[in-house]
Amino acid sequence: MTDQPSPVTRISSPRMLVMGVGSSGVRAVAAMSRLNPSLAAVAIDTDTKVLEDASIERIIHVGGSITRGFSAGGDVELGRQSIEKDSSSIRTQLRQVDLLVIVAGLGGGTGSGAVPVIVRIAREAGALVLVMAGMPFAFEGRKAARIADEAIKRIRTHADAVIRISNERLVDRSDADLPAEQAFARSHQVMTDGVFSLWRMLSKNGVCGLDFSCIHTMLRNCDGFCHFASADGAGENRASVVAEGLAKHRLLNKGKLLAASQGVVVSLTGGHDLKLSEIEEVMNRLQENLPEDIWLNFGVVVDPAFDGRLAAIALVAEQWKEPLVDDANRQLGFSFNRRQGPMQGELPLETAGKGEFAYIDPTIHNNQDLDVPCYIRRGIKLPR
Amino acid sequence: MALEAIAVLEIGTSTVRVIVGELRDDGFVSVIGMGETESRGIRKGEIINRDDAMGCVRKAIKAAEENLRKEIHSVWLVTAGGQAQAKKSTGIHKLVDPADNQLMEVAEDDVAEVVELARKVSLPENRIKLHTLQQYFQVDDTMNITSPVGMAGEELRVDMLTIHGKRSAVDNFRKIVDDAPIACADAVFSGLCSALAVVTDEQRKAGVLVIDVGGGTTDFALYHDGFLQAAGSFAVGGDHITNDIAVGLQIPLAAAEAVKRKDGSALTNLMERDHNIPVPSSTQGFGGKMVRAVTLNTIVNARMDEILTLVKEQVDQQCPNVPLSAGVLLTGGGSFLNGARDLGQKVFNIPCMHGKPYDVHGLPSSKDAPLYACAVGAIRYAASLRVVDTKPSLGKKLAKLFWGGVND
Repeated sequence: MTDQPSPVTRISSPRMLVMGVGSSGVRAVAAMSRLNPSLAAVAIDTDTKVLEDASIERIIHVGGSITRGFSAGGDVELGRQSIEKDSSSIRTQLRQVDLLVIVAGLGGGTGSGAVPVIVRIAREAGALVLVMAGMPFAFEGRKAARIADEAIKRIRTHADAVIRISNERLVDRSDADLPAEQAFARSHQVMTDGVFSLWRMLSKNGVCGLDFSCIHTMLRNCDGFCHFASADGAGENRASVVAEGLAKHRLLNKGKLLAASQGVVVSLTGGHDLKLSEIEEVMNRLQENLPEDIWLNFGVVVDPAFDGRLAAIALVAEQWKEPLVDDANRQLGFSFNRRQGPMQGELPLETAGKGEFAYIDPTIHNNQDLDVPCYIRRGIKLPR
Repeated sequence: MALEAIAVLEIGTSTVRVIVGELRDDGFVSVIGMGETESRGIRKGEIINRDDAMGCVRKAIKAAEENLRKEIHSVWLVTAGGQAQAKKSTGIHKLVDPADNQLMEVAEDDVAEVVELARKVSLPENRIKLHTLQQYFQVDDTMNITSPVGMAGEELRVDMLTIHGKRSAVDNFRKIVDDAPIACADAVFSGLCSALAVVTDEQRKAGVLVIDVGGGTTDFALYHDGFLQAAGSFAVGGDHITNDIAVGLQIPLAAAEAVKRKDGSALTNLMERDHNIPVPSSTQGFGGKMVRAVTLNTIVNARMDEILTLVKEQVDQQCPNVPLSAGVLLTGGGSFLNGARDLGQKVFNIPCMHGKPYDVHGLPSSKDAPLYACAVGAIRYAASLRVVDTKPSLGKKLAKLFWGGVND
């Protein structure tokens, strides 16, 4: 769908913010906001050069005192320090956000160092956090790969979901002549597709239900990681184009991953002319590849802007197991629905989680009841 | 001559402990009797069941008396003071004699007067003064003077740090002791006592922060330049870690306590993703469970990090930018948590060690020494006060009477 951005209505609720972190993330976000100027986007980097090029309205320059306006130079520790120095500006950005999508390329300094910190801050602020992380090419070396893996682990402890986008998979031998700039921009393209589909899902009403919570369920169950593919088509045979595009997508290892997958979410977006037979065609084509006992969830969004076109995204989980993370506590009602939330700090009345301290004088500090387990207040997800 | 033995009663949230000791002439504290019992009826450093608490106090004192083979008549009460806080105050004394308009030398009396003035701190009705500790003197514009006697100037100032606690909490503990019935000599702040026991003069000059992570409360005291600069206490401690574990892993409190002591670590190690810890079943109907080490440690890490960060916040608030060259010393039961010291190092960004009482004889084991830091410090504190108003012994009095003060 990215060929032509859909005309945009102002998002009222729930509020979504896209945050590009590190040079790669900033570029991706810059590309997104060019296509869709009403998307709430923020660019964060240590490198002033990158930020100047980005041409986005909302820019946060972090770590000015640490890197003096240069990049973190591949030093994760510098990236982390930079963001912690300027965490207050991040907090102000997150004040009224329900869903935060962080877009970043891992393997460098700022992205790998800063994203885990931002995720933590966002969770403490009560937002749902989805991270789209571009993984480095193999030729970038083992060190970059290790840094990226470490960062992913850290991100996982706080993020609601992580989507890894492997640069390596996006480019193959047939792309020998591909200009380097385009090769690196491919992951941005994927991120853009993903962000826009999410945005549509949140802002448009579906014919057939699929919303962020479905994706959230899926992401919880797939060990926090999943693969992502998108395709679109227009004209007469758009359904078969989309179906083939999804089934043979590079990020799905040319469709091989589908056969091994255990859970799939498919979201279709079409105009008013979307026919049932087209939905059927796409789903049938996909299901040919999928194993029989797969957990499948699909939704259709109708958007007038998509008249004559059809777009689809698929989230594919390789593994399907008991949620690794105990999210039970998130239902306790701590700062979850903050849209009409009070501006003033308030204490939850319930004694949830207070255990043996339930019926004695609470210890209050900075508007927090310190008797409530710390991991609940900080929004840390417990690995199960 | 060793002074008379001093009995110290520490009513903690997890243990009630009585230690009897004496300060010898060579500066060593010699512990000669000890009794302890698991405490009940106390939560977060305050009494919730008076009968239970009283029973524990009686039991601990009895145990100490048996151990000492002597009766205990009076004790010093160690208390966290229900979230004690520190407050700085300044006393000002004019040295100039208005009559002859001249600079005057600071005399001993002036010092005593200014200290007395600074001591008069107004506190809210519900707070009780526990200690007033003298900090720097200032003569005119010369700051940070430690001993002003003999200096000339117009005005003498002194800074005092008053540690005050919640009146009801302290009074209730005193009442329990009185009703035990035993005379309660005085109440002393536990954070200060821990610091007195584990910090040497050298460290006190260099700058050191002592954190006593107890069962229900965490106390801290910060020394720099030889003076106490900040102190306080808040009602979060080891029990909160246990409670977090119990809630997070859905296991009984007793099992949570056991698993915290045995396997809990304040550091989350990503290598142990697949390591499982068995929580044994109990006779009360809990069926046993396997929990993942990484889950357990995530819970412990979050709480411990918060406790240490809280201390850091309060210290930064009370006296910002004090260099802590001698590092951070952890005492109390919470300091035994695996990785607590490493986490402390991370939070404060300076070396963090176990604080063990120095120059002590007669403690059960050196390994457990941080547990006794508070009581040992209280003995030191009590002894230091007594030295001042020790009456000369009868023999000396007689000698003085006959030979007219030759010995002095």
